[in-house]
Amino acid sequence: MDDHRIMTPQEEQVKWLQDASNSVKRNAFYMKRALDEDNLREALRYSAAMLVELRTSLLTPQKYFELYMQAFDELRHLEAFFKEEHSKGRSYADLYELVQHAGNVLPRLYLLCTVGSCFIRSKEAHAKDILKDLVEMCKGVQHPTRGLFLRSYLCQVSRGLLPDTGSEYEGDGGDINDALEFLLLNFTEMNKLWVRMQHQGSGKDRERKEGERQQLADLVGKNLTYISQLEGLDFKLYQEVVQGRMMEQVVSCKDEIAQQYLMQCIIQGFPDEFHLGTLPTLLAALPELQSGVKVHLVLASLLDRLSRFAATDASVVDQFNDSDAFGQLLGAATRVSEQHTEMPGADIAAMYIALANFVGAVYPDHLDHIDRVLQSCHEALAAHGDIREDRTEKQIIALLTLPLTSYDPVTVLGLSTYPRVMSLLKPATCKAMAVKIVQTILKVGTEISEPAQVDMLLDFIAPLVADVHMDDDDEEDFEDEQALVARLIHRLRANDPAQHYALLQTARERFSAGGARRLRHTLPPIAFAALGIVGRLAAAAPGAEACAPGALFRPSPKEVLQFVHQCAAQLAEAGENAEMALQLFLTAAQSASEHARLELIAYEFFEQAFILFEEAIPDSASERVALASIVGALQRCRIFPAEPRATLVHKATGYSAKLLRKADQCRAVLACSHLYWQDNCETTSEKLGEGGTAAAPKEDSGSPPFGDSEEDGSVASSSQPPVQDGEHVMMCLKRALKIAHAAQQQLAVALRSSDTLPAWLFVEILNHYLYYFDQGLSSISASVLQNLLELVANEMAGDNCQADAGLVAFYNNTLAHIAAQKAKPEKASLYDSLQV
Amino acid sequence: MGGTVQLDFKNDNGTPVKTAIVKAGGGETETLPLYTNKDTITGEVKVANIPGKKLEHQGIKVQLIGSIELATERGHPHDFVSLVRDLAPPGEVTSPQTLPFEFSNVEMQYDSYRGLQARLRYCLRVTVTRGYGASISKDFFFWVRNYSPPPPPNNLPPIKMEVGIEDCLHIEFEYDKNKYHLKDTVVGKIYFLLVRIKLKHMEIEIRRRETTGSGSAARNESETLAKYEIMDGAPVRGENIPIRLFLSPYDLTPTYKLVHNKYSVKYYLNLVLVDEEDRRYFKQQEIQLLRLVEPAAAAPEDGVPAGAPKVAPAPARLITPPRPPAPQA
Repeated sequence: MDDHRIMTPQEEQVKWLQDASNSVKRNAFYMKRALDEDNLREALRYSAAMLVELRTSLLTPQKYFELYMQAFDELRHLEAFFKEEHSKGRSYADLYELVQHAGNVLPRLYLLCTVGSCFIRSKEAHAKDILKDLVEMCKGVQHPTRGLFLRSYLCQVSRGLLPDTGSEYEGDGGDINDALEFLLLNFTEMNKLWVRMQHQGSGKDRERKEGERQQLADLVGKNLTYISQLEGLDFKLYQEVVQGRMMEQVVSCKDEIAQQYLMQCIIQGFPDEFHLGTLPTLLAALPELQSGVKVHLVLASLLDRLSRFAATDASVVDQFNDSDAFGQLLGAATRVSEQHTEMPGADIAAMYIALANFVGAVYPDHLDHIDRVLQSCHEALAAHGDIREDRTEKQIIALLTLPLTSYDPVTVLGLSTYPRVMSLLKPATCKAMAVKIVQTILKVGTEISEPAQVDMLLDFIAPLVADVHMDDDDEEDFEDEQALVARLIHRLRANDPAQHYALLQTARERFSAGGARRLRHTLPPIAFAALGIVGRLAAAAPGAEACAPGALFRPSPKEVLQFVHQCAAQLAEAGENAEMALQLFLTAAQSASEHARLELIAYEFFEQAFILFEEAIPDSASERVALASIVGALQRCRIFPAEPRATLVHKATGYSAKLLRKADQCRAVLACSHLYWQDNCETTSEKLGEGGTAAAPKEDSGSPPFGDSEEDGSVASSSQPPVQDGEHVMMCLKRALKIAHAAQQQLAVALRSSDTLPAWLFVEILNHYLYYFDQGLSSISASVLQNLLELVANEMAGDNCQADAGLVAFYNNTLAHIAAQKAKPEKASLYDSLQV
Repeated sequence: MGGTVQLDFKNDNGTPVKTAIVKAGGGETETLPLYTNKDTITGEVKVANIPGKKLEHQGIKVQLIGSIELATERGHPHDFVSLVRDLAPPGEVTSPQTLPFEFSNVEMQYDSYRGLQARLRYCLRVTVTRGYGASISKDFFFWVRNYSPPPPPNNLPPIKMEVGIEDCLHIEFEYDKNKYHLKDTVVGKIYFLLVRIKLKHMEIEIRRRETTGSGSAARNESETLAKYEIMDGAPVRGENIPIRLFLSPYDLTPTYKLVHNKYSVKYYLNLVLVDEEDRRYFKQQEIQLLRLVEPAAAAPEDGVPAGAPKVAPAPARLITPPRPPAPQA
């Protein structure tokens, strides 16, 4: 046996509990035996002996609770026996006296409570007398833990026996006032014991004590729960009796834990109407609480309740207004921050957050309330001094974010108090706040439709728009932030294109200061938004909007396109953004061509794009992509007459030959083939063309709406017929074949003939052939195609090709396509001679 | 020894003689006939010879003796009452004889008492006188209790006192009366005006003090008859603790003042406070105990008609009367 081993505190606890528990069991056994033998005296003796175990000071509250529950269960036997004794003619008055002969106070009081409950139930005594006696006698136990459990037992056994209104014990047994008095007294005594726990014993293990106290909190709170459950508790009683008594105890106990817990209990435990009706008293207590109490949490749960209350019924808000609930709450918050100078800034801010939440929920249309909250918060924090803690700043950000979601963000930002509160933040935090603002606007989906608002908004998010200091921040964060800003640009929107254009101009002006790093994020969305305007301007019937009086001067599509040109040019100048600028030019060119139908401007855009391609595209991979874009854009433009178009097409085809890799060349040439072959106008482009022509006569009638002259190229031209130059197409296709062969040889030289790249190219070429064949290009006869098919089939027969699953699938799909075309009746004649 | 003597206490009218259960020491109890002052004691003495032998005597008598015996004069009891009735002249007993006797209106002003150093006893001593030290004598003890009228209720001042140790502990205590009857309940309250020591618990003791002798020869002997815990744990300033002590479970007697100039018995309530180092702080207060006439078992109690449901004890008995808060120390 290693009895000498030192036990850990936990082991000790277990052992002590075990010992006590065994003794309870043993005595309970004798007690029950005595009960069976009808020996009251012995039964009482053993029950007292059993209860003596509860006198222990060794156990932690948790373990003590286990022991208590055990004794609690055993006492039920005794209770049953008392009832039996009573039915045999023994009066409860006798029993009530008899149990008081026990020498030890704690067992005596447990027994007394047990008999007392039976006594009340029998109605031989007035409930109020017994209750009053019990609650008074229990003062004999002044030890905190033991007293708390004893009184908890009292509370438990007297449950349902109170002379509550409507209860069977009402009447001679007393009334609701007696019931209240009992619970209030018990509550007061328990709270005193609970608070005292903190101050007894040595001061060093404060944390442990606080932990233990937290475990016991609900024993105290139970009284308040029972009070709130009394049928007879009406508002008048609450206001005149209950609240005052509770608050007095809460305030006077001067204990942080108790105040924190009890305030929450009171707020959660009693009906909303009671709180609303007694708001002044409730709020008056807040500044009186100890400085360590988290008043903001208390206030927050009160506000939470009130706002949920307001949500139940519209008339509640009227009640709020009648009692100036908002003013009272705001006043309370102000007083709390004045009273508790040492309250952390974060908590002050949290308090105002709660208020802002409340206002948002209850007064969705009272932005002035938000204004007052912000103002009060600013005053409180400005007076506070040290607010530049991270925690505080986080709360301030939360406070500032709140109204953005519940009100129109732009209007909120327009509040004079908003920037004042924001100015409390450190510059670095301002940036976080700016991100928050942008995120919120994006989330809510507000539209910003006034240039002044744009200015204001950009003022708020200034840290994102331009470098404030030499901030050395994370590249990834930066990207994220700028992406947000870019998204924000799409929220600048107005129904009137002129207005919209003005917004974008304002924004661009501001963003220009942002440096190259930001421009590449901010300019493209502006440019694209502007292109959207071009589309809208072009789609609207000219002149229809000119009649809107007082409307802004309406920009011409040309003007807007020039704006886009500036954006793209600025982007190109900013360096490292050539590809982006190139894409922008191309898109703008397309818009100029297909929407605005301004040939000269479209040509200018292409020219700029080509210059960029020549001068600024850094590597061959980008070249390939850029070229593909150029070809794609150019192919769709139908505005150009033959000559300028030929220039552009020639240039693009020339670029394709200058690509480095053979495969790239091959593909580029294939793409270029399409420059010589435009589709017959589909229905949509047909319509556009019609629109264009329809507009022309009006312009010719001598009232050009924008006063632009022909030389500016601002007069819309009509679309050219589709180009279908079979000869050049064939040249391109043949060239592609040649390059593919060359690529094959080159690979052979490099001893990489197993590479499937040439086969890929051949299949691609085959597809292009098929396309033009299908389009009816006369130079491609079935036999030409047949030859190519065989060539490809030969290539594909190689083992290396068969091993490339992707390639095989590509090839098979191509063949399947042919088969499908063959199956179509209208194509049958064309495909008939093809053998696969 | 030639014959046996027996004595039966019997009432003339045939009602059974009352009895008292008395502690006999060592946890034993005995049941004795119970009388009170001025009672008439009647009964029968039975004298029997050994069958086949006659019992000669010089007379049979019964004596009623009340005696006080102090520990200091052991073996020399002082008889304060001694009455005698002759039951038979000298003669002989040849068959069992029953001899009735009667002592009427006997002066028994003192209660029977068994204390630590004093004893007051009553007995009937039957003597069959024979020559040459062969007399047969046997004592038959009985118990005497006297009853007081209830004291006038307005003549019962409470006991109130403020005590303490400077800057350590100040309390004020209060017992509702200074006189209690033996089935009474002590109701009171302790107010803690200042607590600077770590108290563990508090109890009330009932102490009995016997005094024998007088002057310089006076001897005191105390014993604790009851210990009743009234508080568990450490109170803080401003707390008050209720006291309710039922006297009936304890073996108490009335307060006796100078019984036949031999001894006195006094009772005290001793309030004991124990701190965490097991130091005891106490204050002792004398209370007067008296014995009221016990209500006859069948008689209605407190004017409540028999058969009516018993109600709770009057609140006055249960609950300490309200009192303004104690002044701050």
